Amino acid sequence: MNKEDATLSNDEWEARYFGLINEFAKKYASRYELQTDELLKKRALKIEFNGANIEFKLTPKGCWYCTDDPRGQRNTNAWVLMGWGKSAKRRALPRYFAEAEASVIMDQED
Amino acid sequence: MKSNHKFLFIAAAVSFALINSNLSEANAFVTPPITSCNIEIGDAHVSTSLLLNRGLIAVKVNAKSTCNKPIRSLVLTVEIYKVGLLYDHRVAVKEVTVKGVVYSNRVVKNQRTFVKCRSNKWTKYYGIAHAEALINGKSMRTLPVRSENIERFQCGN
Repeated sequence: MNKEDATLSNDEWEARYFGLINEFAKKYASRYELQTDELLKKRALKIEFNGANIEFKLTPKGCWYCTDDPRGQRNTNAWVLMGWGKSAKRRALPRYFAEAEASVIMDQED
Repeated sequence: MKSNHKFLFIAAAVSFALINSNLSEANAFVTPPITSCNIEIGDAHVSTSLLLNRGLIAVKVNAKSTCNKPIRSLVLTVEIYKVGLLYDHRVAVKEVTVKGVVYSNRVVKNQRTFVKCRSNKWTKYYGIAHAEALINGKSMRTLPVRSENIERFQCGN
């Protein structure tokens, strides 16, 4: 087992992952706003990003997403607490869209 | 800061072989673990990567899985809980599914589970990890393992 495998985290991987979230949050801000409106209205949303399908579902206190990528080696399912209210979800969702899309990229690279 | 988070809980005793999905077999007799597959989870910590990359204060929990046999369809799940007055509340879940084969002794990490702090309220956090995989065609899963320490941060949710 190499040194990197012995630890629980990989700094380089993390820097790339969180860097991508940051980049996407800025780059696709207007699209994320539209997606936020649609998700809050319909409570579920399917999008395609870089050849992968991502499905979002609102729950009373948060939001789920699951990725399905025929090209990637990994898929990710996630849920996070956002709060009961619509305004709390509206604040958190754009970042969450960026997180899901960054996961797709990382899963394709892994 | 990192050295504070090196308290790792090695779930050496928690093997994929401990729990077989076939309950009738499990009830009939107890067999010793046949593999050295295990998962490891760290303590909750304030992520320095997130702070540096995004200026974001968030609580994060990392976990990893290793196995001395090839496994298929590994699902490594990490959950973050905050300690509540009556019961603990789940605040984040991330499941990473590895499609296809994970070769023996290959380390699979789940280092993407975090929750953003929404206030400065002091709150206690810990993580729980568990995994499922196919070993020799049989579905196996680990017992859930919990962070060794419950950590307190100025991070309300």
